[in-house]
Amino acid sequence: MARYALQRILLALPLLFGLSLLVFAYVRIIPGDPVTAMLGVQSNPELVARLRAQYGFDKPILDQYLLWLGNILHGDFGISFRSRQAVGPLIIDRIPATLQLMLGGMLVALVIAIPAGIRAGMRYRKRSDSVISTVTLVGLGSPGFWLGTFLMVIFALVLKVLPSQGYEPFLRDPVKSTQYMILPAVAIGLVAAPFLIRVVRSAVIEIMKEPFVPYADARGLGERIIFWRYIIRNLLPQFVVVLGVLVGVLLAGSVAIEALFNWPGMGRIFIGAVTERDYAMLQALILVYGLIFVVINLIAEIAQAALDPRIRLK
Amino acid sequence: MNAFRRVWAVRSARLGIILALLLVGIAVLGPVLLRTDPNAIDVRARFAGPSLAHPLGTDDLGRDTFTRLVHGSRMSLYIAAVSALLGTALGVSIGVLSGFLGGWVDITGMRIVDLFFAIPTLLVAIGIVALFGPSATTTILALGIAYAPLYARLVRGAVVGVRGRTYVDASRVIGASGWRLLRTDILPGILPIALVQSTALLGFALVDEASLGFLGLGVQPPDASWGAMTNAGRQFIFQAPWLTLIPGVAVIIAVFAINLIGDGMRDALDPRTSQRVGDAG
Repeated sequence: MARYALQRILLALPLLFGLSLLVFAYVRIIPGDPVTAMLGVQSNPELVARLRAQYGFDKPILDQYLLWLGNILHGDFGISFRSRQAVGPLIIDRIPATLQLMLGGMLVALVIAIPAGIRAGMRYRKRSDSVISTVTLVGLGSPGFWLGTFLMVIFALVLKVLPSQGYEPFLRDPVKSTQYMILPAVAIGLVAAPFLIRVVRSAVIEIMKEPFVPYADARGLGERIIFWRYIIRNLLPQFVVVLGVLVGVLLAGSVAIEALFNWPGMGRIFIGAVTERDYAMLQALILVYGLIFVVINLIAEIAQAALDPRIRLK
Repeated sequence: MNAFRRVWAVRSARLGIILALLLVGIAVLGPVLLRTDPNAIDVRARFAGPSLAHPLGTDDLGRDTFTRLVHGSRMSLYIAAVSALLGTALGVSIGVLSGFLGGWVDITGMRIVDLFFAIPTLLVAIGIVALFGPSATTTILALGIAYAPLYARLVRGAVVGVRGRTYVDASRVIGASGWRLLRTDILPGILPIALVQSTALLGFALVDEASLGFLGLGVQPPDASWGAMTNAGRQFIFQAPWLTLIPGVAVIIAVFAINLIGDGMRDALDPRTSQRVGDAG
């Protein structure tokens, strides 16, 4: 088990290295250099030269990369082009809020999607399948901010049972924090659920085709036993796939949901960095988003191997 | 034509095709038939409710929501179509090159594709918007590029699958050139998968255009697109939430139609579920 975990972690390293190259190259795509992009073409040449030296843009490209990577490995993500503050702490401040939102959304999505996907798959091409699949198709087209606005109107503006916008750190006031979290988490969970339902449904359809299912049926085992003993167990290997889809959708969806609900997560500073063309901040944020994705997937792979011996012994 | 008839035979796909044609009709003819100006400001009629003059009310500047929705449909469908096309062109080129040439081209191509998988498409798109500044053209470029990696991997897998088939070997043995192999044997083999995927991209692009627009990173004011309209409504989310909700409904209907068609195509064109396509590839 430990060997498998180590092997997975080692395999993720080249990916992270590639990601760092991609993110580094990203800022170099801008015509000219980041400093002129930031200050505009007609800015004071002296100031441009000074900033260029300050950020190391006057060195050879390889040196720039090594310097940048070395700094990141020491936890130094650079200095914001705009606020002139260190980028690292600014982002770290925002990570808990985004993770909390993602976790809440994940819970909502799993609670909806797993039963719905299994039901649709087990009743493939029957009435409950077509109902679930149609609702799923509508859900796939619903943008997160739309679902969020809809929920906000009903539960905050009309029924007045939940706060419309805002955030409270969980550790400071768990009750209040949960109240603030419900609407954004449900909204983002509803965005992710249709994707999950599709994954689970097609997995269940595949499992139902395996010979052991009709055999169990022929032996007279009830649907309930077939469900618990065969479907659920064989669904387990899909866990990593499901989580990969989920994390991608949740990360992407969090940006608009955070904007809508005034949720102080990474998405808010991401949008701010785009409008202000703060490339140091953008680089760091994209790297952190990628890191979250890679790390969660890694945890999922290892957890799955712990649950399913077929994977770690392969 | 035969393929179209097979898709048409799927009842839900038929509904999708009719809905989609209706929307395209509105997008093409609507702005011509409507005599109202989508950008006409009328401060006396700000936030007006539904009336004969304004069937869906007005926005914060008193602009007619219905007119903007119709004009916006043209912009949104155009952006979705072109970005799906760009994503298809990039994805198919990279995927076919990678799968067909193999070797180091394949390895390099797919490793780069892997990198993009660690960053969700919408975030890739936002990153590209940050480079070029928000506009309709940037939206197309950003979405097209962001969709390419997934598409490339899909096509590459399909090409590798087709490349090993007996009929491809047969063509090679009778001396077909690489180009001919590609054109007559491999590309037709991946066509069903590409069609389904491109249709899916249309749906993703509509939703993503709306999200970018909502965040203020898509089509810029005063131009109307479904996404840009939701952004205009964002500041007045408590006074007039319908300014955000109405264009969103348009997106949902359009994507629903597209997904109905996509699912119908998957059922009708997938060689694994349909015996009749077996002889074609």
